[in-house]
Amino acid sequence: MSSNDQAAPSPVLELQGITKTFGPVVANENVNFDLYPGEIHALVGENGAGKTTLMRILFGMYRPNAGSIRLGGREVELKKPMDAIEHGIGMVHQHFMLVPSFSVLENITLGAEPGAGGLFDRGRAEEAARGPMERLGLALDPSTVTGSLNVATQQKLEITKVLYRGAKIIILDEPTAVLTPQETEELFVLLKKLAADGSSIIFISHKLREVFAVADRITVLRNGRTVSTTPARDLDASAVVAAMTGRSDVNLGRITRNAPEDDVVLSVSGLSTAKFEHDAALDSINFEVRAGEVVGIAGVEGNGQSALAETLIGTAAPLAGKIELAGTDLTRLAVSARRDLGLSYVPEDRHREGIPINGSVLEGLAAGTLRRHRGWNGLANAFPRALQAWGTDMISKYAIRTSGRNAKCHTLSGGNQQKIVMARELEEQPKCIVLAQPTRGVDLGAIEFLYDRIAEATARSCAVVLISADLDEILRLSDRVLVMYRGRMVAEETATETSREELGMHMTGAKALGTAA
Amino acid sequence: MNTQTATAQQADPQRKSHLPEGDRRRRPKASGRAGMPLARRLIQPAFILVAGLIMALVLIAAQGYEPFSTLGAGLDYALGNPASIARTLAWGLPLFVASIGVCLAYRSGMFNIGAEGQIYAGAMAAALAGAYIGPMLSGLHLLLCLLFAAVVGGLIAAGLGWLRAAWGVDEVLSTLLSNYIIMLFCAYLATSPLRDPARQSGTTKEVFDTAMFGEIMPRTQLTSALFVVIVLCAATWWLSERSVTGYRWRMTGESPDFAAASGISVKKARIASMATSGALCGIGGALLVTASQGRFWTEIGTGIGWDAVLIALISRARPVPAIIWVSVYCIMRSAARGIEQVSTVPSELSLVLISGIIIAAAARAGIFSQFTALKQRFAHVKGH
Ligand SMILES: Nc1ncnc2c1ncn2[C@@H]1O[C@H](COP(=O)(O)OP(=O)(O)OP(=O)(O)O)[C@@H](O)[C@H]1O
Ligand SMILES: [Mg+2]
Repeated sequence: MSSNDQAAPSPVLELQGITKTFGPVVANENVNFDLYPGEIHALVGENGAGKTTLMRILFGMYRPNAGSIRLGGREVELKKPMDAIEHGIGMVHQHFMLVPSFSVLENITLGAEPGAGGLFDRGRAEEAARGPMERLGLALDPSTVTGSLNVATQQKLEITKVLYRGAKIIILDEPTAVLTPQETEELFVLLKKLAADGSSIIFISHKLREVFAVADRITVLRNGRTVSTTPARDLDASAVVAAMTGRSDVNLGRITRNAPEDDVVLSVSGLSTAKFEHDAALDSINFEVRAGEVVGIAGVEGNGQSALAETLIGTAAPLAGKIELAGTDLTRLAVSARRDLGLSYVPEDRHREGIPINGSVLEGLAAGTLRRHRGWNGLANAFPRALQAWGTDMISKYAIRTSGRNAKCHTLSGGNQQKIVMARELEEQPKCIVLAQPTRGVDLGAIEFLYDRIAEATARSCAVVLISADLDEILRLSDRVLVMYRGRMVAEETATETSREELGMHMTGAKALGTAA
Repeated sequence: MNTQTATAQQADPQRKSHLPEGDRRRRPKASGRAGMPLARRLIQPAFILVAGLIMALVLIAAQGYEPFSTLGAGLDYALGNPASIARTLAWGLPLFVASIGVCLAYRSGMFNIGAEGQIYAGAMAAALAGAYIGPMLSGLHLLLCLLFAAVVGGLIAAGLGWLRAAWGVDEVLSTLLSNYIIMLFCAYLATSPLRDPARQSGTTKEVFDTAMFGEIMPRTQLTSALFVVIVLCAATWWLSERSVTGYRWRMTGESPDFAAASGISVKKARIASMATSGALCGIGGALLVTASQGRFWTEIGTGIGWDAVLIALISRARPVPAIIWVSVYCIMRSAARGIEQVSTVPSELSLVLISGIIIAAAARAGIFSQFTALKQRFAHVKGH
């Protein structure tokens, strides 16, 4: 796969005995990790296993409590990201850190601007940025405003930035979570090219399909400790899952569920909207979801899936059409009224809509309960003992890894944040739930757990709309799959009778049926 | 190009990295550090206070006085005995109410810089209710005055909140402008149609005695309004930090998209918190009349609305820190007056000190970055 096969003699990076604690939480415990030139080394583990923490230590964002970092055989101390950058380490974060209002060029050169005396030398900056941009095949006007680019391009921009600063060690923390399958393929081609050029890459992902597609070696972390480091060709998916979870019975296939019932719960007819900022307008969408049924909505991002989710829950208003829940017209109702009638919603952007990022875990969990208070109850204690106890129960029931119900949401790992959202929405015992990217950034074991909860909900006759960019997810859970393209439903398939390839064809509009489902 | 802030952002990724792109540019935010142990949270405010004290000592010494004894005399004047404490406190009563009022709106993401205007409107309402209705049972009359003031202040702020919620008129602008409109209108009322003919300057008629709070400590001007203030502070703390409504308002302020998606009516929260904020500012104004001046006059506010806005910013909209900062503020003012009496150091010393402390505290509370966020917000509004 890369030059690793030529038995590269000495590692460029060695992390030895790294330990890092946050108060009572042990995020890393005696972790060992090494990296060879030209190697793509995957780091996997459950949510909260300590992957991001380890990488932040390597990038100088956290100081370890114990352990040493060696670069090219020499022990170094990385006190701040600038130190790491000077040692040729670059990191693309789980959540992008670009300044949306800046131009592409400004973002690439930010913090390392060429020019004298604080003056920005535009010409030299463009010159310096051209090399890395060409290496990535990024054909962009450097003056484009970053916020207007799609996620995949923003990601390439992040990598460009890392290359611009001369990184030889590139850390990618869940880079594919926001990419479509095609974009992911492109990224992998790029990574392999970078590795072939001699860069070393650390790649974090929860999708084993991806890990096996790019990695030379795989290191598994569990509960903050290294379980194993093994060449990828000596491993298979079930071995990695077993190492990650400590269980050998994790189901990676289709979830068994009751057959859907007959009565229609959600019925959408002629739904159209105006153009969304980052999404297509809906164009007379029709579909029905029956009790206990899971309808998957597939599509390349930006073809109206976000618009559909927001219009269903009511944070966006339609121009025309009708949404009915068990016979009640929801179209003109506010979000709270829709929720009171039994509609639930897991938003795709968990940091913005899913949880109060600066609030506590309990504040995130209790939103449903607190919504139901009316009139003078609004002056009552928001978090009485009983609700606090309930919060603690939810943390253990959904296995949310956190120091407690009063921890701030932003201290939780990504997957654990998502569990807060799922716990809150499923505990409402909804008649119908709209799930937008419900397991983005969630680990395999937790995905299985959440799927089981979704299966339980359907056994209670809950209708499920599953909007996902992950075709595996759609195929594992849905009864029927609808494909969206440019704001229209272009295809309908039975999940057990279709394939990734067929859905992929529909998604690019290649096989458009011309019928509005 | 704004490289400065952006670079700072890079250098401090622990805190920022968790914030999603959208959130970061969306709102100036009172980011939470409640997780910190109390002792560590007190270090910085204590540091600011010590720095302020040292500055005072230097200024006094520069005027040729023995710094420690002079400062001691000032502090003795402010806090030396129960009567001086009462005097120090009496001046600050309206400011306590107005400050927690501004905090409340800020908590739901609304910058109510219209506090000054709402204070004037409340003072005018109370002065009219006190002078033109009654005399009657004192408790009832006072209640009526405060209620009038609360309704007037509340309606004004609610209207401005509604403009934001329904029409997207930025409340920073609308509340700012409302100050001048209201103050000019009140000045017009006090100098023309409602002027007390017995007086030369622009004042309204004196209120009935039944509309005045009684002194609870002789010759200190500390009145039973103190109890009203205590009750209001406690109630506002509960409302903002503990109640279901407070939860909704805080979520609206910190994560508006989360609030909207989980069924909190963001519009309602914004309007209601503005209304409550305005009502508190109105009551602050009413206290100026009913607990001290006895009538409305054109300069009655003396800028306490602006002080309230600053205190809300410094205390990052938390009610308890706000109450502490108001107390500190009262003591500084009073001590400066004491120093003036034993030396020729002018009481403007307190202004210098207060400015210094505000700058230090503002830097700590990240107010400058908040203003940057505001600037970006305007840019964003324009883009639409
Ligand atoms: N700043 C912090 N303060 C307190 N605890 C933290 C902080 N950062 C991480 N943690 C805790 O450390 C543990 C490891 O978190 P980390 O983010 O490294 O996990 P991860 O392996 O990246 O998980 P994910 O796959 O969900 O991203 C978690 O239990 C998390 O709650
Ligand atoms: Mg992580």
